[in-house]
Amino acid sequence: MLFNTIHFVIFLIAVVIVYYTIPVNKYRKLYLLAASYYFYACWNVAFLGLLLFDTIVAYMAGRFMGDKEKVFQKRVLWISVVLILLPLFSFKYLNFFLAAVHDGMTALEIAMQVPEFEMLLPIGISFYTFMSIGYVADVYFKKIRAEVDILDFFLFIGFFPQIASGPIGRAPSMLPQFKEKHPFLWDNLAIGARMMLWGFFMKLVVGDRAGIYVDTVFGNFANHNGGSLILATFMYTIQIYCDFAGYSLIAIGSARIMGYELMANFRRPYFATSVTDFWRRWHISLSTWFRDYVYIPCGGSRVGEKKLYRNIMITFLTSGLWHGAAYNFIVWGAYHGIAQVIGKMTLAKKLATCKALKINPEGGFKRFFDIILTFVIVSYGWMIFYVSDFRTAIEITKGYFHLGIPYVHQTTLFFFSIGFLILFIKDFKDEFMPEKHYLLASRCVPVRYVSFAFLSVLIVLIGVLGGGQFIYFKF
Amino acid sequence: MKLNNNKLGGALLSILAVLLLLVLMDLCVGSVSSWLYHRSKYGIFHRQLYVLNESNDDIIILGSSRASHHYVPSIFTDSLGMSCYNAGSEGMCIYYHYAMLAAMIERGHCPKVVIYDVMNLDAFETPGPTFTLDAALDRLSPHYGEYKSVDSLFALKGWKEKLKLMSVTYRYNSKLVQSIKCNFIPQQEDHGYEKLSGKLADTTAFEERDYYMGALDQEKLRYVQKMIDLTKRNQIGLLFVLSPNYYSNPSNGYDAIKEKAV
Repeated sequence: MLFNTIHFVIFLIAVVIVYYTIPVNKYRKLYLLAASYYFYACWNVAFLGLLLFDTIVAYMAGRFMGDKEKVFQKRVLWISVVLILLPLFSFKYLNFFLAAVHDGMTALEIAMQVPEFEMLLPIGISFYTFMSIGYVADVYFKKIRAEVDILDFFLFIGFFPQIASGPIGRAPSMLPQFKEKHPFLWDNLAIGARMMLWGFFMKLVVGDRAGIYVDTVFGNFANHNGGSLILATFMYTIQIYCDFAGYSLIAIGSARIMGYELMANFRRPYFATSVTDFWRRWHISLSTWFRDYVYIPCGGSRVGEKKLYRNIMITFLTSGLWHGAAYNFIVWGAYHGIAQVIGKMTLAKKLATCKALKINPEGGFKRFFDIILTFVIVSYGWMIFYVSDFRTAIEITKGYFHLGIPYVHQTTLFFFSIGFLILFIKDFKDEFMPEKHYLLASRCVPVRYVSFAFLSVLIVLIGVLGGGQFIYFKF
Repeated sequence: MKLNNNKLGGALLSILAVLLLLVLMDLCVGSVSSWLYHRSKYGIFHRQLYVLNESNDDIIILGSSRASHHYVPSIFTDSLGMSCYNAGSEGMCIYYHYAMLAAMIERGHCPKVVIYDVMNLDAFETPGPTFTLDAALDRLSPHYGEYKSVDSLFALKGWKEKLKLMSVTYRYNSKLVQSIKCNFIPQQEDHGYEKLSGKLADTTAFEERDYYMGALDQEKLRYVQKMIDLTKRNQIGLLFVLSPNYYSNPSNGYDAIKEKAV
């Protein structure tokens, strides 16, 4: 059940209405759990077993750890992490691992046959695996007491707004929310509905529209000039943002309607002034997960320079691998890691250059320059992320230098431009004038209502309405 | 009186207000879109409107871009002394062409001959955005409710599609730019025929290809049969034509259509 379908809208309305009519919180949660499992089972009933497996392992690990001694807790932690990772490894990484072993053996001129398994990737497995591991780690590091209430825990992992593509929820912030009964509040409904509407706008009007151009050009890159390839790269940069941020907003909005607050997942990432800043604004639930459970346990930034760079590379290589079981994702992760290392290495020189050129390092000009530079670096990385192999990435890179007038598809570019302009204005306002409230966020009720209706009709008029897939569904 | 929106009554009133605004805006925007679409003077919308609402031509040519760019109606008229219209349309397959012909007959006009430029994509499952039922429905959505044969195509998608079509604006989704072009940018055509200009590369040579086994789409084949039955019932001569290509294209798709045609 995709978020951008009538099926989901009807499902959500039905869930919300029944949810608020159930007076007892325990039964509300039971109902929500049943709805969540139904939502998940709509993709594939068999994969519900994997979700249940990870949930049970994480729950039991938390209970076993209890107040036992540290050595025992550590053992439980590692065993449970391995068990939780098992389904993810099997379904997502096994073929890649075997292929990598085969490639390694071939390079050493050792003949070796490896089996290949045809497997469907269970929806959301990367997300709920990380939520489960995060919980177990939080219990071990005493950030949270082990959850006793089995219903609350199952709901935490299986909660339908976030199960398919995040945000990756954290137990300390989410579990307490399931303990309290949430009364109907108009504010929650209004804010949630606004978030969802904006999410649909981003996804359907901007993201999917850009995707038509991107697929056309990248799907036939050899026959397109540099102008088209550059434009397609730019549009893919916008597409992936709108696809994923739009999805996250729909998820967060759905939860908010029922009174639950999920963590924000995007904060205007293309206004970042460095690659490090970009990762504070992009897929925040994932980047903070890697920070807390990979980067900091490796030592974080409280180590010498060389170890700091090592920690950054480890974090981003594993992040790249999380995104996909293919070499290009690892290269993409490494690309971001290297960009950050270079950023840190050259920081002092940059400041010295600003001083020498009498440029205010906190000033608007420097900020504008940093935003553009970061955008270009990140956009090129997205091209590597999009293509399935190095050869294609190299060919496209070469193609950038054969400039020409880009391929123009009038309908696509016209509608994309309208959507992009609206998106840019909103994100610009939120970034630089957060104290202002216009249109959807206006303090004047009629303006809010008219804006809501207008945006809805605009989505219907120029959105791509056809049940397109979310890019991040691969994870 | 200030509404307490946190009480159910206040909330329901607010929801009703927003819904009313939505309906009004949908009607306004949809009506403007409809007006713009229906006064199209050029291009694909004009041709579609002509075939559905006006054509009394003796010969109708159906098919994808291969039809629209390669069959010259004036030559047919000149040779056969019969009026001819090229109703070929880029990216469209059997669903669209069946609906167009059936709607024309429903309106009261039976052409004498239908020439259908067939492609194997009229028999194969196609994953892309073209040559699909969705592509046909998207093109025909402004005519939902006008012809039973067009409506029956929408029925294939079930109740969800019917629900979406209650929105007037939805029927004109993504058509604004095309509507403007079809109103204000003259496009050359000859009774539906769209001339292409250019030159084939000198290196173009005939290519021998192996027999291709694709996944057959049984629903598409059902519509091929429906077209055959429709033309038989209305005593319309139906010719399936396989256009010349610069490659041989044997496939189980063509064979499946040939089997029905014979």
